[in-house]
Amino acid sequence: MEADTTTWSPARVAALYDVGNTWLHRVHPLTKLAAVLPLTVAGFAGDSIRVPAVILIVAVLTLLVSRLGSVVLKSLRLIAPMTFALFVIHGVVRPYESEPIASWGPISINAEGLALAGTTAARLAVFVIAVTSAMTTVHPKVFATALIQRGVSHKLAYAYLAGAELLPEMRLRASQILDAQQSRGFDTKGSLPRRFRTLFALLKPLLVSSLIGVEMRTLALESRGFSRLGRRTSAVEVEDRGKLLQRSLLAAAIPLVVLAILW
Amino acid sequence: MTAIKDALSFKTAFTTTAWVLIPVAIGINMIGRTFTQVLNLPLFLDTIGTTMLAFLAGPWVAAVAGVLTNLVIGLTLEATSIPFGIVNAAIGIVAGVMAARGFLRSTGKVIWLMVALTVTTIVTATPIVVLVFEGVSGSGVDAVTGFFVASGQGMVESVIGQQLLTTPGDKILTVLLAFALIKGVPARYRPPFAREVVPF
Repeated sequence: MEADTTTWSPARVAALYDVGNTWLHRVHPLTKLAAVLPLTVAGFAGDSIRVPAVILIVAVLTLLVSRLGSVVLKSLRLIAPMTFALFVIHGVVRPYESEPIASWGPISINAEGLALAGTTAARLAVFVIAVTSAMTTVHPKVFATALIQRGVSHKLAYAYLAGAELLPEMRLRASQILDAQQSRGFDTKGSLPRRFRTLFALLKPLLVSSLIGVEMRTLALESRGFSRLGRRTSAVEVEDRGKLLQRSLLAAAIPLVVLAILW
Repeated sequence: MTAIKDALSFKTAFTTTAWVLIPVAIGINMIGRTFTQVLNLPLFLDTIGTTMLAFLAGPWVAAVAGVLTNLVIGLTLEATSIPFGIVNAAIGIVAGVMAARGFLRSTGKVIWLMVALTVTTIVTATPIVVLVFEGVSGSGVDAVTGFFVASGQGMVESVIGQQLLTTPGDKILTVLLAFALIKGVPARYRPPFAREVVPF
């Protein structure tokens, strides 16, 4: 039986994850992850913008039709500053031997630079949208369980999941420490040396409390048989399916690279 | 010296304590960046957890924490951080091996550790920034890269120039903070490797 993630609180993990029941939510987590590889290599192969642009248009339309506009927004938020920097550095700032298409005083816009910026932005957008689509529609616990089912060490999966769960907890603790230190008169806007001192005052309690908690966590894990060898059962169940599709997706990366270069 | 030997061997380095420390390092890597943003400091401090773990548990544990930091952040928050897992892992290995070789035992040696981490960052990050991101990172340091590009430098030279200006300060403070923070932790809470390599 599949885990009903709709009842889990997304706030407990630092995650792109959105609760939902779209077709993409129902696809096996590793199938979604396997699809990232051929899409990304196809996007990066070849010199032209055509391949990444086509992938991007199809991906955005599919996501919008599937009511997954949030994936597009999250990807856009991440890729926008990079796209801006790419267009400024390659399209405006970088000197070229060819004639600029427009000039205003020292600023000139070059077609060659714009093309390079556009291609790079499209490639990065393909990668970002592929990863974001995969991870917005899978709860980290389900993802970690699926990895363990395919032979990934449960210890590695624990570290991944605990990391994802610890991020919001540490962020909360960091903001509490920040508030507490500010109420004691710590200056977050003073001179550079003063801000460095504040940084140390903020990090120290966070680190000390984290390290003190390590001993307790270690004992708790050991009492649950963390170091024991052998198979484990899991509270989260993920139906182990789609192996052939996943292998095909990974294998598809090779012909896709060839096609992208030739096109 | 047993703890150092154990931490340098891939087979014996991963104790339960080491596995518990990895998520803590991931959290500290993330929080280091958050605090520098809150305090408007011209730094990243996004490898402070990895460096600290290298001093606490050795190179291999720190390398795994480095890769996982970028994977966790990449798969849960920002996909673009995934390729930089290589940089984070390399920092963990170099910091851990140098800590085991006694580079935390004198001020002169600590300076060499800072230099090594700076070089490691530049050597591993530059190819990723140039080949994958065409020189940009989407952060404030792009202005420095832009300055070098505008002055007629090639993309590789511009990224190296930007890294030479921004990385040393970041790595100096990362090492100093990691070292000072471990020093502030009572000895009984330090893992055996840290008790041997941190001179207190």
